[in-house]
Amino acid sequence: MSERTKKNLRHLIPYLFLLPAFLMLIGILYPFGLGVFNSFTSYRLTRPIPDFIGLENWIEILGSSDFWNSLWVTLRYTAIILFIEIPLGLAVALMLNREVKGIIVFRSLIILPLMIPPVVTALMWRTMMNPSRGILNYILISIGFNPLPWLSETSTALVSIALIDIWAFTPFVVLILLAALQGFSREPYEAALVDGANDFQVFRFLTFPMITPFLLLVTAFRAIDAFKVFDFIYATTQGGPVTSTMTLHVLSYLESFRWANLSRGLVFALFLWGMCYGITMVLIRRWRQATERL
Amino acid sequence: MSMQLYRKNQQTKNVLFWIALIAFFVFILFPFYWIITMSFKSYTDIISWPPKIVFQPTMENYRAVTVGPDLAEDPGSAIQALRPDFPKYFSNTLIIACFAVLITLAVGCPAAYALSRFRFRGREELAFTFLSFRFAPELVIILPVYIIFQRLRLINTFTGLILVYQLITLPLTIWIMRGYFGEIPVDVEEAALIDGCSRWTIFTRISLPLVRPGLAATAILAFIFAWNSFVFGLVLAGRDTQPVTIGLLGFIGYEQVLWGQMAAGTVIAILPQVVLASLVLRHIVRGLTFGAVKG
Repeated sequence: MSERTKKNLRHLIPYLFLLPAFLMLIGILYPFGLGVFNSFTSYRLTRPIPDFIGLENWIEILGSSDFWNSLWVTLRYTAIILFIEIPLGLAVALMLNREVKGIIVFRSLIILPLMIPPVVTALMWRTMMNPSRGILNYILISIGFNPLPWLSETSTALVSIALIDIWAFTPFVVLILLAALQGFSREPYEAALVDGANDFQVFRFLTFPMITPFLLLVTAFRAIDAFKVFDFIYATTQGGPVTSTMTLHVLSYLESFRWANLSRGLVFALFLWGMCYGITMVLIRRWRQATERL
Repeated sequence: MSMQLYRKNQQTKNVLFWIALIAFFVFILFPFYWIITMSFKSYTDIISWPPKIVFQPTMENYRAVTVGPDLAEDPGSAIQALRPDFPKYFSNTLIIACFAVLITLAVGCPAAYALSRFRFRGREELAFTFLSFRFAPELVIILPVYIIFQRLRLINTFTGLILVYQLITLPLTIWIMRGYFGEIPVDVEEAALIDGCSRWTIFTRISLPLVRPGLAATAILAFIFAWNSFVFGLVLAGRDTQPVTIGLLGFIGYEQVLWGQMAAGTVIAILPQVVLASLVLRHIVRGLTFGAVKG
């Protein structure tokens, strides 16, 4: 074998290592392409023939009230959980960052909600939120409040599911921000202490600027996961009552399998994918910055 | 005087700190307490109002979900056939998650190694393409996969499910392992290269053993993620391959909710996760962020 062919072969080595993963990648990208194609067809579960109908599905859906309702529900859900999970997560992370006796126990306990299946989380809360027999209403009544309808009425269903999300994913925010806080160097804090800065000043001028990239990272993560929320809703309300919790992801599923219209389901899923993709791009940029800082 | 005031101030702060912290953790831990106690309650205790805090614990729910309900009390064999078959769901999930993780490690580790060690064109683009699947709504891939699987008769097969679960486990593995490989000092590998070892030998004999703790953590995290997933099974599994997450929904029927059994099933489904998670405590932040935050 000549030196030259040897050198050429060496160039191939990385690709050989990557070959199996590359095949998997094709196995993922092919269905994606097929999905895009079928969003332009009239593929139904009952009539699985992909007749090309151009933009018909897209135009019809973008003009339908189902779609706009679901988009609105999805955005509202995302707004609610971000508005609570990020500040609450930051507050808890700051608390857990204090070096006091016994804090290590709490730092370990915080991962519990993250490790269990979201469906199980939803079922646990659904049990507790039962309007007539659930423990939550019992607690509300015993401290002098009116019982709530929780998941069973349009006015409270979305907020109830958001509460489940807050329980399950605030720990995610806490863990990441805590990891960030623990990574900061102690020196500026010591200097601030010497200068007699108070707690608020330390937070405002030291901690907050340093943690901002991580806040953005974690916000992007949570926003994307909230856009595509599925398990919590499927295991509790399945989009109801009426359509008050019908997010785009759930609508995509129901359209595909309950109403057997796979092509329309694909349009919803692809639209949602576009939303997630947009945020992912922002995330990746932040990501690179955050990793460079570490 | 002012020192005293300062101390008092500090004390109030400490008290507030603990109140806030404990309040938050009551919120986090209460559902676990509730579901665990519920799993030991009899049906009448579960539906009683006001809810019973003190009750006679029973193992009936656990028996019902593991070996089936007491047939002497419930001879209706017709109903029996419709009952959720929890042990089956459990072993289904075990089969799917284990094989999915094994395949993912075999495919992902060399890829992660290449993406961390070699310089070649399109490296970052490729890595981020894998990453982007973490952020794609599952149905965007699953709906067309359903069409393909229908044609290939892969719906309701373990093969099919193990393959689609790669969508969960592979991006995770590639990104976390890439980070671990990147942390090995290059000198070790360069020395071996000079000694005439091939790249593949270096990978299997030197690099992989060096990242063993990271590899174990990655495998466990991938297993947890696979175990927890829902929508893949919902669309692509059937009677014979249903995973635990779908099976649990079966306890909520149209006629009655088997609260106690659902609670027992829930506890059993959570248990492996809690044990596994405690093994990889230090790696969890990395796993959750796909290596963006090292933790």
